[in-house]
Amino acid sequence: MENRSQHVLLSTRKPRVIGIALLTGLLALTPSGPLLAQEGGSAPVQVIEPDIEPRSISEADIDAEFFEVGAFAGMLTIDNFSSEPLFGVSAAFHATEDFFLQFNYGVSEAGLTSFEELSGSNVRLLTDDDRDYSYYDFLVGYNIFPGEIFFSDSLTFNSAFYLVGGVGNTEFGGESNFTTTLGTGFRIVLLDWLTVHVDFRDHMFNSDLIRESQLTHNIELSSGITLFF
Amino acid sequence: MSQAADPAPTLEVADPFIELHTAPGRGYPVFHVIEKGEQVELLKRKTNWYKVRAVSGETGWTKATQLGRTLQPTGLPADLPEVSHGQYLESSWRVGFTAGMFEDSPSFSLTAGYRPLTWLGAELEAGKIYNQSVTSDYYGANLVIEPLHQWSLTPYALAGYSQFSFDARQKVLLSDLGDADGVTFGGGLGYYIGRNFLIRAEYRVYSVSSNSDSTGLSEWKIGLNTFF
Repeated sequence: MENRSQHVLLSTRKPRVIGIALLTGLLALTPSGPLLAQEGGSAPVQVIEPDIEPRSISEADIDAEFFEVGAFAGMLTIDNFSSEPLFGVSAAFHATEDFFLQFNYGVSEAGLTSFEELSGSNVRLLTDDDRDYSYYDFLVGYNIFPGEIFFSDSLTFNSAFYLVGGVGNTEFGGESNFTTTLGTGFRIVLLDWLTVHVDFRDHMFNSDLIRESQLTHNIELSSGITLFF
Repeated sequence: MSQAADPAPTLEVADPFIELHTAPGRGYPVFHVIEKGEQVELLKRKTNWYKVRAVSGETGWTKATQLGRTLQPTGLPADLPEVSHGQYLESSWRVGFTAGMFEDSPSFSLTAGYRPLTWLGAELEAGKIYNQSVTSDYYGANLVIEPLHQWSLTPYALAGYSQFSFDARQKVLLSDLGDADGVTFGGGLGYYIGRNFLIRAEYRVYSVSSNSDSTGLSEWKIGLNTFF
């Protein structure tokens, strides 16, 4: 692809006046400007092609930061069970200033249900293995409120409040469950390549572990850091 | 950080001025302008913003569209890397995920594709289907044919092969479910929503055979793809 704006300038016929104005403006900045200026009033049809190869700037010349990886930790409240520590990793791709795609993987382990607590140590609904809770999901994120936070008069950081939603899988109680995840989060950009975030998420899936198929809400509250590269 | 030896690319401003914002995003205030004819150094890129440094030392963020109208040292307009509609139709990699309904069961999948020709691409898919009593993992390979490019909605057709494995949700009920495989035919529409995102809506029919039985099944899905 040659430089597109030049192509457009040369190929459009109608807005000639604007075209010429722009062209002379452009050419005034170039070494070959005087060549065209000699032609005077008659409209230029052919512009002299410069000998120099257009050296376009490629992605590799610029340090681009689109990808983000990180780790997080927090609490997961497992519906009908207990609230337990949660650990996970995340990766995200920021395609525009507004939207991003995010992958998350988290693990936790469910404790006892209230029923088990009350019934004593000989009543267990799940084996220890089946209490392992792990999930992964693919989310679309939208930076709904970008902004700034002011730590002090001289120390400010950029921030964003964002919404996420998506689908994934939850392994719990020896079952795989289709999981819909919705949430919000807040990100503070400490450095161009380092951010810290707090997230609130609801992982919803139908479970028939305890009773007849029921939509469970599993609430995650977590915080983590991510690196951009 | 590692490219200390390389000087940052330098451009000359061709617009009357370009604005420097304090951060790469909508709404961040403009704190400086660089006038026509001045040099700017490109430091970094984040989404559709560039971090630039003026000769006078100010560092700020400017929109890619504004920087697209700058000049290189040769005097030619800068040709900055930019993604626009149509670019996803060039040879490219794409990855994405889908969510859908396989008959009455929710499903999702991950896809990765490569398109060697403008009208033909190949795609690998791994997904999960959640039935009331059975969950299924499936893997598939599809050929995607996209011959029509002139509209903002790009229709495509696909044909593929999938392998299914099953896992009973209630272990006590069913012991061994075995595997199945099937062929897929489908079609859909792709819609470019900006920069490098593509939404795809798709309908497929499967002919799944296990133990010499063959069943016709259908699936609706919607997916989000990013390409590069």
